[in-house]
Amino acid sequence: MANLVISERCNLACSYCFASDYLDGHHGDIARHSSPFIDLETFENWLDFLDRSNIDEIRLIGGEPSLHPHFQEILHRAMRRGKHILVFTHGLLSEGALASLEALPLDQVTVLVNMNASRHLHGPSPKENARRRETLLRLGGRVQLGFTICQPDFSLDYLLPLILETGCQKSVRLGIAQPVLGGRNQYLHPKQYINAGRRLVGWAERAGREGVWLEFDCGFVRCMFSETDLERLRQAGAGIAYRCNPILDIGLNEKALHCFPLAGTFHTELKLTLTAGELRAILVEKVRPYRLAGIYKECTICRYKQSGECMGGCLAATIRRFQPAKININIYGGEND
Amino acid sequence: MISDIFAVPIIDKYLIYAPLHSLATLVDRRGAISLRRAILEADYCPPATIEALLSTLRSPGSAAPQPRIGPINDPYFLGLIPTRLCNLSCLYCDFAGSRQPGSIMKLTTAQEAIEAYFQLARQSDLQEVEVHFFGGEPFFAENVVHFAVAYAESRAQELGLRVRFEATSNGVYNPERCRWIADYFDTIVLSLDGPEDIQEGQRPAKNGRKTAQTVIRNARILSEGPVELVIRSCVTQATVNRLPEIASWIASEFIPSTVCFEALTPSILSKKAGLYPPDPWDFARNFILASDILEEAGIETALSTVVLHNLRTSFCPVGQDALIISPDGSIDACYLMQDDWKRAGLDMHLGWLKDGKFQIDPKAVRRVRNNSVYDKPLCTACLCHYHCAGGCHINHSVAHSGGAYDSLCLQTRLITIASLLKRLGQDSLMHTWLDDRRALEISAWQSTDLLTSRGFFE
Amino acid sequence: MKNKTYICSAGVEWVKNSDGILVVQGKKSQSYLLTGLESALWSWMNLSYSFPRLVSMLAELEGISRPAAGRRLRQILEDWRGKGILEEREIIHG
Repeated sequence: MANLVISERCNLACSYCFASDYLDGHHGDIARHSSPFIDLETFENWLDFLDRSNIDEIRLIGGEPSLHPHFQEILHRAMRRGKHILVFTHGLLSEGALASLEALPLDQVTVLVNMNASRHLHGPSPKENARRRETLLRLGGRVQLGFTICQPDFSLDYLLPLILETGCQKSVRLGIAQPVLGGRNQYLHPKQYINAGRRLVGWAERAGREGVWLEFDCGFVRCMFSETDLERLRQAGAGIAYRCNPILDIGLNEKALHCFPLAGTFHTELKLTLTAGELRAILVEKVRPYRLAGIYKECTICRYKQSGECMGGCLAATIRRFQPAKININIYGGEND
Repeated sequence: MISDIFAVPIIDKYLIYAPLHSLATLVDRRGAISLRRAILEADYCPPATIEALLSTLRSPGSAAPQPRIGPINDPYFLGLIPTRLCNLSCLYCDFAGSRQPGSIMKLTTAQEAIEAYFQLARQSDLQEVEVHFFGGEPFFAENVVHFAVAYAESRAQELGLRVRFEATSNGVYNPERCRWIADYFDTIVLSLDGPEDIQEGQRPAKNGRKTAQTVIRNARILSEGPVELVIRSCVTQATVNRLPEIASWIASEFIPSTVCFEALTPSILSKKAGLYPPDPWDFARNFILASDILEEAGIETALSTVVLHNLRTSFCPVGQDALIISPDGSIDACYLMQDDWKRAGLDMHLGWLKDGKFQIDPKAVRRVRNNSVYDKPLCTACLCHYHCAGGCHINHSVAHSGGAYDSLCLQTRLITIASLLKRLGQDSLMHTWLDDRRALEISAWQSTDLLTSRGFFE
Repeated sequence: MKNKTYICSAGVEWVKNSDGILVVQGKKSQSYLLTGLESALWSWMNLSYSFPRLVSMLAELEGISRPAAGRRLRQILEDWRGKGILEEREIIHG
């Protein structure tokens, strides 16, 4: 799979955004290019690349992808390839963008709406929530709700009535806000995972009773749940996973990124003559030695990590634990012999 | 007969607490009277409303905790005091001034103590060992700590033991050292009384240097690192009403697992500095308000005398066979200074580290173990009997008869009750009770909490 | 014997885990796990302990003489140099 960055613009300012440093061009060795939106010719080249890579899903990301001035045309070109389209959006869409998505068949598009995206430091305003609800009502079953856990005292309570009212998909994709390596975004510290785990189990059970289930995006770890809570989650139908195997991000600057949190450090030239699998292999090799560790010091002796059941948490959070070696030892001849 | 059932009036109800049955519940007055009669009168027919409760109380509970017996074969932990020296002059600290000896533990002493402890652990088939560092400020003799940790880690790996490291620290060191602590220690208890104005006011460095920013920076480093950060905040009369503010600040700036708010223990130094312990009623109220704030952020709040899951005969490592090694090789049960024990009429000395071995006097062990809650008349009928266990043996006098509670007792009782109410989901009742001074006094001043005491409802 | 300095090679990073110290050379995609004595020395070196101080602590740690500790320490430094974790430079006094 591959995520295509079709827009580097976003009109919100989520405190936890792990793309903002990349989009603001703060990573010195990734030069900014001329336009924040992909041109249609390059987009076609990317679609050819997906075809060669045998990828049957087109994943559109940003920034905010719906801000692309030719968003409708982008969607048409993607549709023409006969692939499923996945759009990651904050859900506060212009009428044009909304109408474009509305026109797509239910079974060919999924719109993943990030429900706690916001301009405001403390989360979505009532106005933002109202606009988002409008998106959900219009797009219905095309929508899957997403939520990013960025602080320990989060609440998912408002999502369940929204799902039941608006007819969107009966699943919530949960993510954990991860740190950008060298960046300044808000994120959930691994020390706060256990509390987060406890919080979401209760909601998962309530949601499960309504036929709504949780899906875990990357970064969750096994040890954030007790055995009892894991069983409760299973009973509630949660899609439990402890992944960190990010999908390739294809950027406008002709780079393929391991993932946004590691955009400044782990990237490679986007050679469209290679397949997505080959590009991914290059990036996997670059990060391989760091994978031995995890987000906790105990990860290296954890049987779940050793067996591969758990990846040990987000790689960016793992790499953040590393520090540069500062050895400088002077030995004067004959010293201590 | 069912025993150790405590009952405390909470406005128009009674909190029933049976720690040996892990039970807490609320009943009305009639229910409490019925319960008492059911326990005391063989032919009493209890109402249906308390049958389930009675059934639980009649089932076997845990055995009451007892002092240890026999030789020391499972020490609570090995304590190392690398030095009594400190780089601060906290206004309330008894380690300050000219009292502390200036010696620093030799590396060989640390090594021998660790080796002797690990051999004891192996003989007893223990899998886990703990090494705690105390002071003064333990990191003031940092190379002793660096060495001891390296030695303990290496030996533990060779011997197949899992070793944990813990230290109580003032947090005044450079970022590199702090990062090392964050990486190598499992738990750090960091003394941080509050935001800069409080910290600077109460905990200046020697020569009056400012250190608050250093401690705050290091608290952030410890928050980021893998170490479990426990923040210990000393509360005075001047700061007690700021506890909610302190809690909000801590929750927004750091990631501790727990915040311990401890009322100032008065001393000559603290009085000289114009610092006084907080009013216990104010302390209890503000403690609970602070804990509500911290709970939202997933942070626990603790008072050392209110650790409800830990039923014990002694509040502290004394009596639990902790072996605390001083720089001169003395093995003691308590990390406070010898002068303090003497003042309290106690002897906490256990023996000496000699020729690489613990030479411990069995009579001393028995003497120390006898410092238990069962010898404290004040605690006999108190609902905090099994978790407070009378508090600090040195600093808290419990020679009075039941009901003659002092400030430490009052705040412990109030916070225990509030914690139990919270556990029962009775937050609203708890807050109503906390706002009612008269109701608090009735609860806290009850001279006996034992439901089966003579004249309980009179 | 010449005066020399051992410094870290560019791009060497490390992290303390439960099983030891993981040293990574990102650019070469290489990693090393340091345990026991090497782990202790690595952490002391990153705290800027001087060579004589390291020898002293190593002697106590291993229960060996100071000369033996000095030789052992040099051996470890050379071993790390051989792995590319450290580089050796001559100390030039002006």
